[in-house]
Amino acid sequence: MAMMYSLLFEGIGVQNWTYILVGITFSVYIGIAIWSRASSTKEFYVAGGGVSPLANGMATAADWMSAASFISMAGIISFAGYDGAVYLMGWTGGYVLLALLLAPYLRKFGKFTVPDFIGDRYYSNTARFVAVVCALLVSFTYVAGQMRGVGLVFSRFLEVDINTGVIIGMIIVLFYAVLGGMKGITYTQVAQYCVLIFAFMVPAIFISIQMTGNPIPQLGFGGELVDEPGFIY
Amino acid sequence: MTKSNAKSYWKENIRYVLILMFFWFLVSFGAGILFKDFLNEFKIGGFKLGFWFAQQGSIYVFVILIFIYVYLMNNLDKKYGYDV
Repeated sequence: MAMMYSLLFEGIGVQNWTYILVGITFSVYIGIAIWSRASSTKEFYVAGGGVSPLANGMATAADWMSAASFISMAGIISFAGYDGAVYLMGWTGGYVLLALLLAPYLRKFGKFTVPDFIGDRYYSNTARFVAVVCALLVSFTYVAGQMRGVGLVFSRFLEVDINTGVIIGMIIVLFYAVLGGMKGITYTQVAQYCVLIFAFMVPAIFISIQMTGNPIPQLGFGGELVDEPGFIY
Repeated sequence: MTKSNAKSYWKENIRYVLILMFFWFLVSFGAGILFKDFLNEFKIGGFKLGFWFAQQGSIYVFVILIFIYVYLMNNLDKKYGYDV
């Protein structure tokens, strides 16, 4: 009742807005996880093969716009200048390698994981083992970065210690990943995509208008360079 | 699917991948890094061209490459009757 009182009579403070919005997004994510519970192995790993290309594309895009790129990419590029571009090209160029060299064959092969594919393709358990080690190494590095980002976000939102933030984030991710498998993850990613694309576009457009008078950030970026040659280097 | 059929399918597949990978390398490592000083002498919409390739151009090309690959492979699958 006390909260209702403050909501009704004192306006909704920033802190309350944060709790409400974070609460809503969490209920959406967890709702999706429960709705898309996996009931078979195929559903758990590849969502039963029944995710539409559009939803899959949105989920992949949300992967790109993850905590690491949302929080650190912008920082790296603005601090490293031209050199920061290697992250942009590498990060995105990797998707071309994935789309041309790995994904189609994995799909045609009908196996669920990359180590499965490598092991069967080269008739070797050693190759499978190497693939598992690589996958663990890559995932571990990636997850470590992401989790730090998650912890940072939670520690700001909920005003807790960053370690507590990491643990809260891990529990939530564990909950919907284990429950929903790939289907749950894909559809939470789709929801995340909608949030992220909005969160990326709004500041980019308004910063571009403010700094260069051009509402299209990609073009405004160039306009800024005209006024201050060498600004970015 | 006969054996020679599968072989020529694979050959065409590899050819597509190699050509696309060539452009992939050209726009990112080539235009963005190796030839950046040369390209920077040109300007496009306020950008130095090499810089533009590193920041935006290469990424646009990446997206286009994937679309081209999907289009080519769908046609190839149809040609050899692998589209089930």
